[in-house]
Amino acid sequence: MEAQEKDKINAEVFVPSAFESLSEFLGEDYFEYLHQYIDSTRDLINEISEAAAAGDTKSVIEMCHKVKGAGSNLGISSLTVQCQYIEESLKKNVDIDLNKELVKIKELYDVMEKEIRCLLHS
Amino acid sequence: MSSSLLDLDNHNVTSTILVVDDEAITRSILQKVLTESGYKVICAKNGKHAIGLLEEHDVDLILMDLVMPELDGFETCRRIRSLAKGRTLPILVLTGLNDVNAVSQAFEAGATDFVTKPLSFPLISHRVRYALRNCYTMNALKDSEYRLSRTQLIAKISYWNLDLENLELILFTYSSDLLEISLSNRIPLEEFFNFVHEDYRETLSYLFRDCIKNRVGFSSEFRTAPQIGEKKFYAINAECSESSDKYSMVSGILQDITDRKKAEDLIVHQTFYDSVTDLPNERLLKKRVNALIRKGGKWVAERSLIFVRIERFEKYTQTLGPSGSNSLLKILAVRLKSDKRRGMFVCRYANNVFAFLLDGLKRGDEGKNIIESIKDLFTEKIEVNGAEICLHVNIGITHLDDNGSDDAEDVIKHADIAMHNSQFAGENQYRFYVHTMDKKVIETLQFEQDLRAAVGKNEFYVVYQPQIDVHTGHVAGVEALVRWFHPKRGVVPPLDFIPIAEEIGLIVAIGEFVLETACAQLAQWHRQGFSQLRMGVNLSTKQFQSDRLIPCIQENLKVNNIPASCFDVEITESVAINDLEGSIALLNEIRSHGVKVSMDDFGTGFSSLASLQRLPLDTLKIDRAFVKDIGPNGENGAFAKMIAAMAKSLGMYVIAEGAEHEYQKDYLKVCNVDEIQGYYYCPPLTPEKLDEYLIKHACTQKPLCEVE
Repeated sequence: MEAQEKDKINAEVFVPSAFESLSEFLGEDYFEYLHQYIDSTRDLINEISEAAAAGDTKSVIEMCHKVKGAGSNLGISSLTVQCQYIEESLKKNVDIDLNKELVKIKELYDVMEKEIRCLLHS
Repeated sequence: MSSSLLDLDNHNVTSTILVVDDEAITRSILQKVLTESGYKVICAKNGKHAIGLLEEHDVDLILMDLVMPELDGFETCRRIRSLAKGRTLPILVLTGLNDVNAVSQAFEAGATDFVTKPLSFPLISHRVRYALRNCYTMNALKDSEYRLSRTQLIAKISYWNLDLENLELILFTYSSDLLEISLSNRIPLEEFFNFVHEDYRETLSYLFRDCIKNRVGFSSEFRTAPQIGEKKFYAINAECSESSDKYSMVSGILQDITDRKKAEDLIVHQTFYDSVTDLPNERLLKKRVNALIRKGGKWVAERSLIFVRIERFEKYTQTLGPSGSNSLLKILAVRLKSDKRRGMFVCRYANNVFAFLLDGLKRGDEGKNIIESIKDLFTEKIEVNGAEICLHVNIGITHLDDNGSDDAEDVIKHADIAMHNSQFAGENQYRFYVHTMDKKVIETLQFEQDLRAAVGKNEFYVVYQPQIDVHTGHVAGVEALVRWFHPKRGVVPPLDFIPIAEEIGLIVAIGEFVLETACAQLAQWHRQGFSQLRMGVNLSTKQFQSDRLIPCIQENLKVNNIPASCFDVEITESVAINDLEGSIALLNEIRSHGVKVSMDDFGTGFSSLASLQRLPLDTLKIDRAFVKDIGPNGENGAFAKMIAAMAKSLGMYVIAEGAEHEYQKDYLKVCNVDEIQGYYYCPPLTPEKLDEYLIKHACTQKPLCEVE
């Protein structure tokens, strides 16, 4: 990754230091993992919505955990924070507006996808 | 250290890591990173899958997420720990950065360590390497500890420290098991001494005090106190170090040495106790006497050493056999041990000598009574194998404070001398040691020494006494008789040295010398033409019992070309009836070679007529005791007449010994005796003198060539 590209990293999407470290350590594979992540996360977010609509909180928690787990290891910031928020809130039975939070997840995902695709094509 | 770590680091080349995570991307990244670091990586997407893989592969480390569907990390951890191959496997769990609760639960479930998420992939292989190294180190330590504990268990050894502040003994590993006592790991030193036998307690307590105060180590042994149970012995060693650690300043080892002690005790017992009677032996007696002399004063005053010798013990050994004579000694020992006199110590000093150390033995009636009662212990009947035996003893006594010596050897020698002296007074006598006894006993010992030397110096020689045919007046045979020419004493009569030669084991050598000399001489006379001349040779008990007897006779007859019928072995009643059945068999064997057998000195022994009848004998020799007193008118001749008649009725040839007068010769002739041997005809002569006698009195002298 070139220095100019690093400067362009969206801090909403990535933890900059993690991005820097991972891209240096994993090289091209990092981008391959990011590509896999956006694909798998897209499916997971859809499944989270379906589970939420069905009132299956347990599945919502598990899938949020999964999105969060993989994302955090790949240096993803806002999306993992949001997933963790939902996971923790549901675990602790904190009263949240799940639909509103899921909308926010989708928005964060879209931003992340766009950002990653940009990186992959750059 | 560095080399062992290097060895451990080399493990990563072949180490297998099992990655367990339900999240595919994390699994992939971990697989890539660890593979590139040289590990073999296998992946499982959940706990169930992981347990399956664990059974199929040899895994060195598990890297596992905690939150997984189906079987989470906690339960998987627990299940892995329950598997034989998972018991010591390092498990690193992946957990959120601040999830303290999860970490705690994971440890409880058996996790080895944790790695926080988000994972730092550049560092993960280092964490794995560190965990593996830890695990190998731990396993190596466990192996080492196991080997050490096995070694300690086998050597029955344990390690201890002393807490100097609290004066508590800290026992490690299995000291309590070792001591076979219920001890906690820490016990006050004073309490520890309760487990030590009182005989050792004071010494051990002193050693510990000295060790604590002056920082000097010690080596000691102790026995457990009786209340602990089985009698056990321990070796305890302490060392002091310069270490500032209060626990390491005084430390040591404790070792169970009971088996060694038992072996030592056995050796000591065998060294100081007689194996047959289990009484103390000569060595212990010397130690005791030396100890008493060293203590001096009241310890020697009025204390006496008494030696008791069983006379003719050899006879009992021959008659009863080795096991029978051992039984006799054992019975006697029980009797001696049961006699509880004040301060009495009894030991088997030598084969047939017992010794007593006794308090308060005085000269006079009181002392006499005590000695008599000791004598009675020996002389009262003892029943062995159905036979009743009355022993005869001689007793020597010396007072410990009456020896003018501070050496046990001298005291023992004096008791021995007194015992030897008592034999001059007869059987069952006793003597107190006085200095004038020394000379006589020394003379006796010198005599024995001279006798031993005489064999090598050729001081023995053989004389021959003719046996005259009463009908023809010719010499029919001769009896070989041994003599000892002592360089200072001159000729020593056989009665003076034969019993001693028997006692000191020289009789077989002397007997064989006589046999060889007599055969060579007989051959010489045969060559001179006295071809019918017969030679009689006496056999002692030991020679008769020797396996070499028959080969020796055969060889001498063969070498000298002597007809067996011209050779006659003479045995006494006591020789024959020691073992009647054995004697019968042996005499039959001797006769089967053509050799004649004579019963010598008949009438003086105690053989029954029934025994006599069973013995395969050719000739009976009437003892001189029945001949020498026969008067001119046949007085005192009844026994000789009766014995001759009896022998004749049994078909035996009869020779009478000891005839000194013509009227005795005439009487014996009337008694139908075949031959007479005695001074009336001729005394024992040297071969040269007998040559002349033979020329005058032999029945035939044929030229040498006719004989050959």
